[in-house]
Amino acid sequence: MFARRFVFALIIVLLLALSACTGQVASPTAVEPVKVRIGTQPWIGYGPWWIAKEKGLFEKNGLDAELVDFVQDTEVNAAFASGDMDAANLATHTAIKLFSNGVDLRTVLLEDASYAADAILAKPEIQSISDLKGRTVAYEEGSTSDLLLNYALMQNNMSLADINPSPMPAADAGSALIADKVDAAVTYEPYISAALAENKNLKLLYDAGERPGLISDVFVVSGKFLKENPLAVLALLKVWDEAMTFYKENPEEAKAIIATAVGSTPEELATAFDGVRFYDLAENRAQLTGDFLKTIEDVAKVALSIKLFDQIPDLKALIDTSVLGK
Amino acid sequence: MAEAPVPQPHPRSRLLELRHEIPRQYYIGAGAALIALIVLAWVLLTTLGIVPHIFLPSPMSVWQELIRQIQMRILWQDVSASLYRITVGWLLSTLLAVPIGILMGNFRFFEGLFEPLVDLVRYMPAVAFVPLTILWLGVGDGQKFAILFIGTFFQEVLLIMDNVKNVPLDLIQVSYTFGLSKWEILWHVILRAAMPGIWDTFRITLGWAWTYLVVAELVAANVGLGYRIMRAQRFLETETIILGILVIGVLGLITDYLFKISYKRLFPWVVQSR
Amino acid sequence: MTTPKLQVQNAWKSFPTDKGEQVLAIQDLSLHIQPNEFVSLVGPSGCGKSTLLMMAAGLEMLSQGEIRVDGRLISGPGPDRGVVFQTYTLFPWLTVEDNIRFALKKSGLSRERQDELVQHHIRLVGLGEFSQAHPNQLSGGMRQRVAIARALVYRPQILLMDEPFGALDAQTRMLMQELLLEVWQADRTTVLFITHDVEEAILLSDRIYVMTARPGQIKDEIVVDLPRPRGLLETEGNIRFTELRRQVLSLIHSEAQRAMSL
Repeated sequence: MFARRFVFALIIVLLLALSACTGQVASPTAVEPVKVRIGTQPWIGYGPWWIAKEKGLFEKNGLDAELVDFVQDTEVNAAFASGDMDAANLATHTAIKLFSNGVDLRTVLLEDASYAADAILAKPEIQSISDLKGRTVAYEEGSTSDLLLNYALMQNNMSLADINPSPMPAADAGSALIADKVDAAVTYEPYISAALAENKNLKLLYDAGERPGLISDVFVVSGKFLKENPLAVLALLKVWDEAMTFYKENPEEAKAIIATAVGSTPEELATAFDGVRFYDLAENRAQLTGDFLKTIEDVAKVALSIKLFDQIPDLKALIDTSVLGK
Repeated sequence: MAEAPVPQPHPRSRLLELRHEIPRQYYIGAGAALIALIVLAWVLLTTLGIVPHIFLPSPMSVWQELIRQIQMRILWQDVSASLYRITVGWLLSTLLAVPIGILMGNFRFFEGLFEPLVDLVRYMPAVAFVPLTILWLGVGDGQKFAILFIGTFFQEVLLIMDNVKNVPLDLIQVSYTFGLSKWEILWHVILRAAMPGIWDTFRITLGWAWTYLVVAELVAANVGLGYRIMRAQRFLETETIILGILVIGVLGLITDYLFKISYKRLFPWVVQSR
Repeated sequence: MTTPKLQVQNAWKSFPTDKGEQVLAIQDLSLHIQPNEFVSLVGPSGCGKSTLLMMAAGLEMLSQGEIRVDGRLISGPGPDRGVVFQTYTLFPWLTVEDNIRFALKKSGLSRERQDELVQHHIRLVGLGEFSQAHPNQLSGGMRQRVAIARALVYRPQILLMDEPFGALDAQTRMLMQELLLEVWQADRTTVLFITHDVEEAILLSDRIYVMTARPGQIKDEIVVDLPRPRGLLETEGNIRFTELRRQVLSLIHSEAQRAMSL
């Protein structure tokens, strides 16, 4: 009796497991599209990929792409190391950091730069960065907020020692400022818009637009994937470009798609979108061989100053424009 | 006439008898061997380069990080800050859980009153309360105590209620025949009888508090074991992460052990059931 | 006719079941115990003997009827009625001495008087050497001795005993019966003793009430006219003892059969 019930239960479990498996089998097509796993986060700067997914641009270019969500940039590290990730969207400083840790990745695309989408907000009585002396500043360590804060302080001949750092996740930094528990908060969209919506008297002391490119995002692929599938990487770049075209021609629909993907609404993100500047392929050709090379050095320097790594790696080896040139 | 000695079965063949006691050296040896095996695997995986360093640091690099933290007094600051927070947070939970748990265990009225709320909040993840605690308590130590409280109290109060409910009914009944009032019985009988169980609840809940350390130190902490781990995650300092986890594990073990020892001292009269 | 120490008058007791019905445990039961009498209540399992004892102790409420002690209606538990359960119910965190002393908490007696009584009762049950031991160090028989001492130390009007030796092995039971006889001889507290062991009932009691199967009533009353003091070994082979035994057993036997088929 016991044995019979056990076998019955086992059959049920096997059937369930089987159905779970079959749910993931992709339908075969005439020419096998190249599978690519792309790590991403709910950040509007990575928006074009969701447009691509929504509009079937991946399939159109012979790709079977899967967008995998991460909570923290640095978690992508483990995924890359285990060979589980072919490509990822990363903040520039994170890409440098992973590269300096020996992760085999190449930057093939400059995706966006934050202008107003990363900022330092403060209580109304604080007028400038110098006024932050001795004040409590909430920010997320190791993130773009960390870079921005340190850069802003450096520009004003100050350092972290001059302020009272209050480390916490970027979302909570915004909340803490709204609740009037800290004097200033460094954070990024959509928390900036949320904070300003709650309290219009908050002062915007500094934003990423003061040094364009400092806070930027890049698209990286694993060295292995690049070597084995250069055409697929080229296809990915094309997908980005097509998505960018769609964004320019259908801004309303594009923003709606992106907003849904990050779990928000276009209205809430209106100012966020304005705070970010995207780069298409043409701009990339100019940037990755020109201005961005200087920018990435500055990013590396600030990252070094916050001890993100011990020494700056070979930045030229990090960027790969071989596919882009085509 | 001398009797021939009864042949004893070889000790090793009796290691796997159901519910059968085994010699102490086998018991301790087994645990020690497993840990040694894991450390050995760790050493092999890292020195042979099977797992890259960024994924799993070598025991040596973790050791070096430990030395560095000791020399720079970081470890001491972190441990004392975290110990302080855990102690206060757990004490707050306990000071409230004991009287409420006792009321709930003895009076169906209080059980009916509190249980739905407790059951509901019990399943809510403490991390979800972070923004609310910032709003109510700011970003100081109070907020951290609150997170530890939220993570611990709702489970603790139910455990204590059970401890109290497990006091045998006839102990209470016989006390009535001595002419004691219900409050005297509560104080002199129920509380004393439930105390060993409550002490064990303390041990278990303090263990849980350790696991909430990271969430508690997520906001506005500049020192602390949990803070150190989160920061190391952002900066990809895997040795620090591993070291942090190990330190928390060891500290949790120590507090657990202290409770077990004090249990034996305080309650030598407990009937041990096998 | 003196006022009975314990008078149960037309007692009824019903319990609600899980299904919301009522089950009748005791039906129109009346009995009485005279002062200094040792009375046993025997009957088949489930006949309600323990329920009756709990009601006499004031730990259960009657559904109908009255229970009086010294003519006064009882309304709850109290130090006029001592109880000894089968499960000893000693306080595990107290020593033997403190366990017994606990019963005197509300007695209002002076510390010296309490000490006197406690020591006396410890010696009475033969645990003089174990006064500082904790219950977890004692055997079942010893724990029950402490329970008896504790129930007697405050000199209750009635001692209610619910199968006190039921959990003990046969040898210990014998010794405990002898001890109880000895202890009882000294001050002759009025006792209501529940047991399903017929021989035990005859050995210890002045009178035996036999209960029917559920719903419990009094089936019959047997007077035990064996002379006191009694000893265990003297009753062996005693003709009158055997006759009484046969009498009580046959009364129970038919009730036991009825109980089985319930």
